[in-house]
Amino acid sequence: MRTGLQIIWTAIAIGFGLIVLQGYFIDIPGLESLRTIILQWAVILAAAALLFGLGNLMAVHLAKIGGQEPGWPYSALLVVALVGTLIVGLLFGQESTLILSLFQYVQQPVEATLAGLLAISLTLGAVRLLSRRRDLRTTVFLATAVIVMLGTGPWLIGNNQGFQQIFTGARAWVSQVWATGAARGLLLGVALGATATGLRVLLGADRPYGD
Amino acid sequence: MCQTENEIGAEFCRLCHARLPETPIGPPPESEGEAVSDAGQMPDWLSRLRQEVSGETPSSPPPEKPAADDGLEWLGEMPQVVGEEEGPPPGEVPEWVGETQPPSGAQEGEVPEWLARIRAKAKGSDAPEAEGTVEPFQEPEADEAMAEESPPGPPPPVSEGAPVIGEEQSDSLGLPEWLMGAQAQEQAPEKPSEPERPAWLEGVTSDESQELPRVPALVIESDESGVPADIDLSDISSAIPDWMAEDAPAESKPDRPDLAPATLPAWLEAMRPVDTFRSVVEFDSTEEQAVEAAGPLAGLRGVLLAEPVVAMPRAPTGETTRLDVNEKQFAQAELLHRLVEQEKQEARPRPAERRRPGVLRWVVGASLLVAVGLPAILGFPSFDLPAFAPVDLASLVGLVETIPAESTALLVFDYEPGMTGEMEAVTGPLVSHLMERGIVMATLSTRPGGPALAERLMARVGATHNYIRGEDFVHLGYLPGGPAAVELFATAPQEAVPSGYLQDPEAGSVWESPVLTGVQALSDFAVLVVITSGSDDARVWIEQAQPHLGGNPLVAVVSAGAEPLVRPYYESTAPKVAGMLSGLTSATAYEQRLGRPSLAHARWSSYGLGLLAVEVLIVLGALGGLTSLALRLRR
Repeated sequence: MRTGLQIIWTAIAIGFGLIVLQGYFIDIPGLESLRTIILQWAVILAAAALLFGLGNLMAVHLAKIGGQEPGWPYSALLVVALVGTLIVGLLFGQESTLILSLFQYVQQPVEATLAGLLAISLTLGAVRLLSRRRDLRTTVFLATAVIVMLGTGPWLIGNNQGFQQIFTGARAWVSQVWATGAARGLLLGVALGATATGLRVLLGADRPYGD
Repeated sequence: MCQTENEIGAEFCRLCHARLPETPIGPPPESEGEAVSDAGQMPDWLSRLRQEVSGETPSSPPPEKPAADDGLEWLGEMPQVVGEEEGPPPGEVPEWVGETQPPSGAQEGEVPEWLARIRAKAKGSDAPEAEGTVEPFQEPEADEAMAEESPPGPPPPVSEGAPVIGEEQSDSLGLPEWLMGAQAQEQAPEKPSEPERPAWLEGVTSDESQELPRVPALVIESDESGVPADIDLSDISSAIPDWMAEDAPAESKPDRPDLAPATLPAWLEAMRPVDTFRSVVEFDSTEEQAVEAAGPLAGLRGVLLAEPVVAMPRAPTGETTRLDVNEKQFAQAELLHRLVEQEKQEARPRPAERRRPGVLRWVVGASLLVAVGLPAILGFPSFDLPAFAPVDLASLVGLVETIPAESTALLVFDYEPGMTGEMEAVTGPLVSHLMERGIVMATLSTRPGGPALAERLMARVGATHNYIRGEDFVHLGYLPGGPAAVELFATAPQEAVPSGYLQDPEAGSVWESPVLTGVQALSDFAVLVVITSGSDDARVWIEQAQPHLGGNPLVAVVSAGAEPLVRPYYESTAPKVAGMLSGLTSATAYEQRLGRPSLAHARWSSYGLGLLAVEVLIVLGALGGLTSLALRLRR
């Protein structure tokens, strides 16, 4: 019985994968509409997964509140904000002025502040780096960062002159040669991994949908 | 006492220092058949055995019979038990004990026949005429006194000068007289007399013809029994009483038929201990066996050793398994138990110590805050605008210029609200350029907050170009589902996004708005602009949507951090990305080219001074690290 179910699930997964995959290579009208339906199901499932994630978030933080675990006031604040925003959205609609104001005057400044703190933390780490770890890689890392910043931003003195042009060229060389070359390698690795994973699923070797 | 042989007349034992009984002074008794040579001396039978085992020659003349009144003097030296004379209180002695009390004087004459025969033989060969006859045994006076006064027990301690029994006593099996007397008292009641039989045995008669099946007893061969060969066993057989002869082994009665050898039943055989656990004690030959040095068996050879029996492994017995632990062991066991229980409990993470921020952290934060805020608030210092535009900007501007007017562009807002500061400044010039070209636009996002960010930017930039939502631009809203949703939107946009965002309900579906008139597929959009702060979102749109654009350009507007990972799609022989815009420098140059200074210009000085502050801090930090290293090396 269990083996029979596994065969059924594997056949369904392989069939759906082949139907979606063929749309990239051939154009068969009947299969194309079926492919669209399958993709619509995927979008609906993704939206439902977002709701499940929301429910899981609530459950986790409600448990922390119930258990009076360390940091439970923050969990309470999260739950209150979540429920309040949800109620406002359900009552007034997602396009209401109140919802847009919450987004513009609460969510966006908070996230921007966190990004600004990230800039300060990175700067502090770079300042301390050579005091904590003195080796060749650290030195190369810091030198590269300084060269890229000098070639990126404006200069207070000698802007747009020859010395800055040198750093601008050095920054372009580092960014477009070294960094792009490394990025190409990363992208090739990602593509090969995705291809191998897709083939294993299509061949039934991997069954991420469960045994 | 330790039974060590001591000098005659010694007051204390030379080994255990116990007080020795006094040696009787005076002529030895001349009583015939006397078993005990002297008070406090070794019995005759024990002396004889010792001589036989050790091969000693008698060092003292043959024993002489002590006087009747002196023979029991050693008893006076024995410690008396307190309250012994009083005896148990009446009523505490069971009835059956009283029935088995040895007869005192009335039964003295009822000596059994076998005992009389032994005693007759023990009287020596001087009276051969008495052999084989059954006569009442006449106890000597000393024996009678001993039988009445001395309790049955071990013989008195053996002294070094103990006399050895004579030749006439070797025939009496070495039994001391006192033991013979005690046997006479103990054996007599074992032969049941008629009046002592219980009532339930009244009807039972001894019938030899109705013998039960018997199993011959395990009798060791005489040459293997360890009994000295010089002992005349015939005397033993002759001394066996009649009632014992009835239970004698079968081989002693040749008229009996041969019996089957004894066999154990199966259930009993199964209960036998395993051979490996069976105690195997191998006995040496008589000559090799050690002589017992202490204890009541001192001087004897071939005494069974208790150690092999105790030390050998054996099958476990059914004894109690309760451990006898002391207080210290109990405390240690409790400690171990507590440790095991604590291992089961979930270890709570130790709360991180809240360390106060160091001075360096405050210096870095304040420096960056001042560097960014000073130009924005005071307008000082001011940095020169870039004199040279990036190479990528020229191609992008040319691309936008080629887009047909009043065509529809699709703008994808895939960045988080935290990246708004950079992304709005970078995207603003491009959107402004598109509006200048009169291109209507539709926005879409794969992030829940994307539609609001799109409305924010379009409202700000559109205000300068009189762009109205619903007429010049629309929001398709949120597209959930990740890469699959992008693929679905690329193949069937109207099925992927059935309703828009901030759409007037009276205007109907978003696809019915004038902005999207004639748009049925992704290729109907004149240009696809992907605005993202992460490389993954850019990669998904490039890989999933670009093939469905039908040759229309895809422009990537990315943050400076994501540029290296997007650039490979731009700088290739068959580029997937037609135009690329990244970083505040390109945005400022774009605004300069458009002649519309906006957010990029407003943030240029803050951007420049902030970068300069970071560079200075890093250099100072590096110098500090090198200085500390040099100082450490100097020490």
